Amino acid sequence: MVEAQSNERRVAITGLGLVSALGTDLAGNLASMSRGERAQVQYCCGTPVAAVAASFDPTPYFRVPKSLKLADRKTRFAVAAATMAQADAGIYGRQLDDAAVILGVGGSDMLLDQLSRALAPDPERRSASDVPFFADRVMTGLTPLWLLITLPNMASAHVAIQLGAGGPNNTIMTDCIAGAQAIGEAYDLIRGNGADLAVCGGSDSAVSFLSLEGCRQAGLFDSGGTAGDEEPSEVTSFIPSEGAGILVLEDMPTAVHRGARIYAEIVSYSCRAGGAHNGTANLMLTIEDALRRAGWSEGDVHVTCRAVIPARSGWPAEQAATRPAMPSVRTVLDYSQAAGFAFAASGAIGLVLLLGSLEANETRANIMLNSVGISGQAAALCLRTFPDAEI
Amino acid sequence: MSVTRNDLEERVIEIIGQALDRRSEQIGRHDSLIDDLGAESIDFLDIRFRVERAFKIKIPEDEIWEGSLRFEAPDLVDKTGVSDEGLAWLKGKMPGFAWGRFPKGVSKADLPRLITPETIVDYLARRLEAANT
Amino acid sequence: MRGSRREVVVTGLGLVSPLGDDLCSFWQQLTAGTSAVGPIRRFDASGYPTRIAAEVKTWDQASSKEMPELVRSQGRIGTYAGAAARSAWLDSGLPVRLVDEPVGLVLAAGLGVFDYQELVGPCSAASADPDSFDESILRREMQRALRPWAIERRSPGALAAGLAEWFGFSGPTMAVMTACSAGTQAIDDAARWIRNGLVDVALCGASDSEICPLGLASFCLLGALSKRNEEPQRASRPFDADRDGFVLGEGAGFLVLEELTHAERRKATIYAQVAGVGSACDSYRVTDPHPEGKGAIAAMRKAMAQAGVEPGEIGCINAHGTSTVQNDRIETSAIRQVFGDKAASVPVSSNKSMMGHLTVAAGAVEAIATVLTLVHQTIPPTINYQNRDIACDLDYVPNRCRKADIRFALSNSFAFGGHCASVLFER
Repeated sequence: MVEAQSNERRVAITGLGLVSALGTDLAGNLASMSRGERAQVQYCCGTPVAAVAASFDPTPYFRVPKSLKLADRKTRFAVAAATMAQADAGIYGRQLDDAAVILGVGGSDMLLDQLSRALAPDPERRSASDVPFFADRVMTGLTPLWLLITLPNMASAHVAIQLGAGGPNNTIMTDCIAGAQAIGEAYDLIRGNGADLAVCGGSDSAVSFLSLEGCRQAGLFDSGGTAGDEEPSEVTSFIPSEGAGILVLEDMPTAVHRGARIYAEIVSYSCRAGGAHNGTANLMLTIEDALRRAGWSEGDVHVTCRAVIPARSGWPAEQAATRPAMPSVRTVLDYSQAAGFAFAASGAIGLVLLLGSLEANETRANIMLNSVGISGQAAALCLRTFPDAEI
Repeated sequence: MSVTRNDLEERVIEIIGQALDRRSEQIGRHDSLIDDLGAESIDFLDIRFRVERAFKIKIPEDEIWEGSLRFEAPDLVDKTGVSDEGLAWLKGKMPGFAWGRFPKGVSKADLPRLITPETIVDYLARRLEAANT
Repeated sequence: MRGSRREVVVTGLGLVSPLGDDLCSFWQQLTAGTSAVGPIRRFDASGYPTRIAAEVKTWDQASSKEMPELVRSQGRIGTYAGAAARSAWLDSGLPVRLVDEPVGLVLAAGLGVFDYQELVGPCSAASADPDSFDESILRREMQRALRPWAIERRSPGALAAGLAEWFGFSGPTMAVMTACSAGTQAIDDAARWIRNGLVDVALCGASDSEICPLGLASFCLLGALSKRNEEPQRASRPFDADRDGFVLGEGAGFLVLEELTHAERRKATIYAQVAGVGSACDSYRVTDPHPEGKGAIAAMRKAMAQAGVEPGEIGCINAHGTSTVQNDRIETSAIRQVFGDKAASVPVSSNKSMMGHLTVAAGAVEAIATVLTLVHQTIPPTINYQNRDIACDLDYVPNRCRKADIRFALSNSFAFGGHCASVLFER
């Protein structure tokens, strides 16, 4: 019999929202997956990208439409997915007054295209060395809203504003594990009585110039890409993408009492740093710790969802835990093959997809979510689903 | 001067619409940007930026807040707010404005609430005219 | 309500700040009312409307040689963090590498880790005129200009991992970034980890440096900075009627937090107890604070509720006090709401009057100042307080520090986006 550890409060997942390169809502994503589809990949400047469909329209999700001009891509995904999750959970208005918002996000794209235009014309490239010249161009030509658009905490701020959520609000930027960690931190917050309700997950857009060139520099594209925009003869398995996976977490008694649909209970959370850049060692420590806290053994896990970034070139595979850390687990799912790898959002997107598909299939399962980042950081959660609400 | 008053109004209302996410038809000439159109402090920075680029002028930081209110009669506004004469002059100049919002007069903190598309157009008309002479 | 729950204490402090990088000189400057603000020397700021800042003048740069590459590659933000974190860890007296137990790390860090040349160089080439932009030129130029570890520098997670590596930590590692409240938020999170039993020891803190061409521009564009360039030392004047914006500072602050019995067992020097933490959100606008200070009120109340303490027991408040017209007015109003008739008698002081606004690092360095306030039973002043503002009518400890009998001290941090965080320390 598996049980949640200790006497602290139990935490349920009662709402899901999703925007990914595979679909602009959860139903769309699940439909694509059931047809065996993959996100469309484009090649830009020699690197692959899987972007959210151009048809994605964030406007219906912004209660205050004026905020859109301040919202970068990951903010738009976050607000959309958060609104979907909130509606899915059936929570409205004043019920959100004290809700926590904890989002894991990636870095900003710094609006480099707008910065370029602000500096132009600069044929002698004076701005690169002449700070007064740079200052003059930027002070007249760059939107004053630049900082407000690029500050990464704005995703969780906008979610709070749009949902009216006045509780603890945090932005986690622990690299690619940020989304999974945000879910774990929200779980820890609720179980320790720091909140009764949390909107949490991850949002990222790794399709920016800065991200893609950073990935290229790190050698994350197997084939090294192409010179231009055509598909190379050897297609890399690492496709940077974007999106947001958002979940509503609640303390269990409240969820049960109001008759909420319970996708799963979070049973434990762990995050470990076992050594620099050693993703495999960190992940093994993290999994062991999460299992111990859950009171599970490895054999109790039915399904693992992995969100793991490849290793930097020149480093052994151990750096990125590419070898399975749980050999006895029957089913190991990696949604980045279908939806692309959405960096900080990857763990949350994976979990939402998994819970959505298990719910659709009415499957009772013990799940683990594993997430590993570029510097080897690892996070893990244990969850169990109960479609018949046998709590 | 090639820009007519009408052109100016149209362009200013379009800019305000872009900044505040409203269609031009939803914007009245005497609408308070703050009280009627939902503008907040950063929207004024945004509007100023867009106006500067559209009309190729530089607007000093404190001028956008008071628009045309100080431009013509610098004695209208002092450290505390709008004087009685100032208020009378303004009411004459802006008859379409919702003066009922200020039964106790207009304090310094209230000044930004007097900014309307009309006051911005007045300001621009004067700036562009001064540039031409 | 405290009882059998785990208690959190502070056993180590370390910092790099415009007022010095060792605790003694920092405290001495703070209580003497010294201003660290001056003309910006680091680069030619003549083209900016604001040309003053509180730059770090002295710090142990040699220590950066020992830091892992991941830490060193993150510019000042990385090396300030490394230096302050190391100071705090050594100050705690814990073994240099605590291998037998998991130690947590919560870091808040700013994002100014891309060099000017890395970004501005490519950007200056990518547009022939303001209406055109060529992605392929930008990206080609970036391939040449980007320094190593670019993908790691995309978010502060790698810096956190680098610090964890350097210290040999095996516990949970987290990077948070809630802008100007992040320094306090990091302390909130680490305290929660200890209270909830994830770890017994955690190193937490924050680092930031936005005194660089793009950073300075971003704040100037918002009109958030004081333009009192001719009188730099008088520019940061929180709560004063003539305040006109904040002054950028920079630096890093770290605290070692420990579970109480763990600290007592090893006979650690305990600076203070983390009696309560509180975090909330205005959920109102991205820059304008909620007109009634809803988030600030909630954060302060939560911290006091967790500690089981009434407003009348608070000996002083280390305000967010940025010296902007809006923040100081609304923070004052929020304090009035929370403290009621006790508000007029609670001393409220702002360290930013002396060291400027350390942005992401502010909450952490100000928490250190608050802990030292309890240790020395002396409240640092709010300097440059000369003109009373009718909307700011509390006791701001004007211009001179003050000895007082303080058992509980509260520190506030608020941010763009409406994030509000408070931490309550007990002697």
